[in-house]
Amino acid sequence: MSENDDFIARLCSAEVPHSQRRRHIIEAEATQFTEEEIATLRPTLRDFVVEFRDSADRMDQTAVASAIRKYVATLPLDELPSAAFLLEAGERSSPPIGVELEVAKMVVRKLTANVAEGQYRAPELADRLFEIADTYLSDRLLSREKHGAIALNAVLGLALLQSDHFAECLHEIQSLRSRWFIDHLALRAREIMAEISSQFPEPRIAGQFANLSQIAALPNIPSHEGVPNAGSTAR
Amino acid sequence: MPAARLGSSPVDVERFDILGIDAAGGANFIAHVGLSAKPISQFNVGAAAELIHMQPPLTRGPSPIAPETWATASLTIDEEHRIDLFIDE
Repeated sequence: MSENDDFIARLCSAEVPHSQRRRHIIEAEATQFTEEEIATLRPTLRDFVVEFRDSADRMDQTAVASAIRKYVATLPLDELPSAAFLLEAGERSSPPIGVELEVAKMVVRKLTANVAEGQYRAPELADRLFEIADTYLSDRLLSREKHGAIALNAVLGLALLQSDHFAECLHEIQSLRSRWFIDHLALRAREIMAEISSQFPEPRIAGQFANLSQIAALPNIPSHEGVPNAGSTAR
Repeated sequence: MPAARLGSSPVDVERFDILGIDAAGGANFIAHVGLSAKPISQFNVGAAAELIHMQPPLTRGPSPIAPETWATASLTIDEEHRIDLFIDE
């Protein structure tokens, strides 16, 4: 039995005390596994997220975030659409905000590092990301902790998924007065464009590039309200 | 960017001002810095401050430290929002 086999056996065992299992989950994020090993481990990561994502315990939240990152990072691209379940509200009115942030960030990272050949569709995942973007793209909410980062990643995720929701999202962004958010979103879009264009041939990323270009151009478009940039006002 | 070694007189620390601690045994080498998580009035050496730590990345966390150095920059509200966004991202 290899060192990893032993580790996975302990992680997947129902006998292991919760605190220990939680520590193993966090350790697993930094551990290299073979594809076969991670296929064994992934259901345990998923079950851990489902079971503890609503926990108020800070250590549980840390382990859930870690499990989400490892789970999404190791999902084969054709299984990424299944990550939509992580954004379902379950018995609550919405998923915990920390879960939304980790999933949205990881979807963007995954779709930046991996570009499918041909048509790639993930309608359910796009629907969940759009629900988030549609809710948080509000000047009142964006400046609240984590809300801006979640909205930013949800928009970038929709752009990379080439979702039908993207156009509506873009329209909502143009009506925002939060120029700081638009500027940072445009910066991230340019960074992702540079990253994917250095890794993938142009025809394969044409759709993503077209969407990201529209985001990158947003700071040049005057806001609908014509409100001056609050950034010019010193504290 | 105004910067100072704390000690002679208290300073008013703004949110996202930089606070640093010295390396052990070396007064001219700063071992660790972070951004102040909140404004603190009349702050001086020996007091603890809650930081957004430069790990990297910048990480929010309840690990207060007692800094010896301080630096400040006049940030706009938008710049503060962008820093918040960058940290959460």
